[in-house]
Amino acid sequence: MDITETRHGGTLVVTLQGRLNAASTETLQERLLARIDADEKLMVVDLQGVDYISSAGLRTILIATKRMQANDGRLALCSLTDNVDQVFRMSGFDSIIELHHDLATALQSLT
Amino acid sequence: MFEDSARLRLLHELGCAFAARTELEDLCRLVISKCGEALHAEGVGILLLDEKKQELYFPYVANEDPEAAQRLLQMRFAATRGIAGEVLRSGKPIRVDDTSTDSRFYSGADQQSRTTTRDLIAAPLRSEQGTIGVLQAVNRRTSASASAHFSDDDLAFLEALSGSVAVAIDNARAMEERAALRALRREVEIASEIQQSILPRVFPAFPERQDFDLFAAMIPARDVGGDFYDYFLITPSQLALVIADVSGKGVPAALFMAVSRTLLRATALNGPSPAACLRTVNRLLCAENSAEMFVSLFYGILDTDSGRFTYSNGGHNPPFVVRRGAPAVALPAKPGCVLGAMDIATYQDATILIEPHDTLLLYTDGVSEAMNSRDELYGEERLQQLLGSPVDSPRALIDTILADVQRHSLDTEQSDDITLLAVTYRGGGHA
Repeated sequence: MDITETRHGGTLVVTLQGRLNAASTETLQERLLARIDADEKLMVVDLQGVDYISSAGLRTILIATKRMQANDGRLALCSLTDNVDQVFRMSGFDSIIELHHDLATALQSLT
Repeated sequence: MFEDSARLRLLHELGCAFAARTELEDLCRLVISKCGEALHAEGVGILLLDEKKQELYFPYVANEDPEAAQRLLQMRFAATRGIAGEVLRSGKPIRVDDTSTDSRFYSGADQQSRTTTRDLIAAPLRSEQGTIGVLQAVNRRTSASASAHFSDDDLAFLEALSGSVAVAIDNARAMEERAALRALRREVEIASEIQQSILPRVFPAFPERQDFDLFAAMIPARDVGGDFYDYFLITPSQLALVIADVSGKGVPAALFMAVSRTLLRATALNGPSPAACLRTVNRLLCAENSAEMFVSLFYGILDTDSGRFTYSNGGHNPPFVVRRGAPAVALPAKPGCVLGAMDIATYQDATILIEPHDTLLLYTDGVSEAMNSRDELYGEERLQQLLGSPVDSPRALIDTILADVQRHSLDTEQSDDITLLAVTYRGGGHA
């Protein structure tokens, strides 16, 4: 799992590349929580390069979202591939996590 | 000559101790005390490498001065330091006759332990994993013989000993790891027992009922997920059907599963609609869920008089309805959220009419995502196709599916629980 960070104005964009499974999700979780704890208030996780997400991956997204909400911040996901999008719809995560079609829409919505 | 025979006797004695599989602690103590005697050394110590911290520490020390020995036992220093560091790095034994003229010598260790090291010999503890530490002897007693410091023979003797010590430490570590692994294995077995014992598994489940027939199976994976199924009568004409999959594995998943099942059953027996039931259970699960676990859960109530099936889906694979002479279809409805994730989640009821001889099949993704050795999933399509053939009974259907999944994932270890619940509605009301 490759994790890269870029800044777009006040929003931190975290771009992921690879499979989001039990093995890779730990690193991601540490990274996201560290950023949130460092008072990052607006964050987009770009999933364009992720073609698989396990329930452990969903759990990481859930934990980050809740931590962000507790900090009065917002976390959104964007650019879900078909496989990942299906997992979000099937698990109902699409009803509790902010999802956007692409990065531009996500950034627009957050600012 | 006298010296040689004493050393041979010592080697023999230690050989016996090794062979008797003496505890590592006792063995190391025996080695360093005997070694001190044989080499006429004031102090002998075993230094081990802490791989994580890259530090050397003294788990075993023998010293003329017991207080100095105590201080040494507390000490740690960087694994690159001193003669010991050099032995560790090079894997070769070293003899230093005068520490004051050897730049490799690390005086910090002396300062910390308030000792004075004049001369020393050190040999690597070589195991299959590389050099794991150092065996060293310091300060040859000047009264012992004319020689003021250790000889090459002394060093050769130390090296011979260090080989046996390294093997003993290696074996002890391997045994510890095996014991830890066994403990872990046992925990997983307990999880599996919790999971299995909580599920109803006496079939026929309702022998007095002619209006429906039901069968269920759960085959736990080696690492135990948190799948469960459940079925019970809320009233004589309301049959509750549940299937669920807890996120995560092992003991936490098994416990969360036990809690989820109990909450669902207790809530459902009060008779709310499936969606209302999921709402309540979701709130209860969210209230005390610091581990952020969640469970996908499908819950439906079959009215055995009318064939109306009312259900609500909390993020689970939609079950199939198998009608006679028609392809199987997944139950429609947009799933609500998995339970335990967010307390504000909402759930909807949906209803479908089940005709006599129709079969409902509830399953978990352990079925559809069973892998073969080429990492190919079994897939919902293959399951759906299999459901196209006529169904004799729920038990026959589940046996057929399990056999087909097994054919698919031959030679591949099952990575997730495989869980199925099938009900064939026969109609005609209950007696």
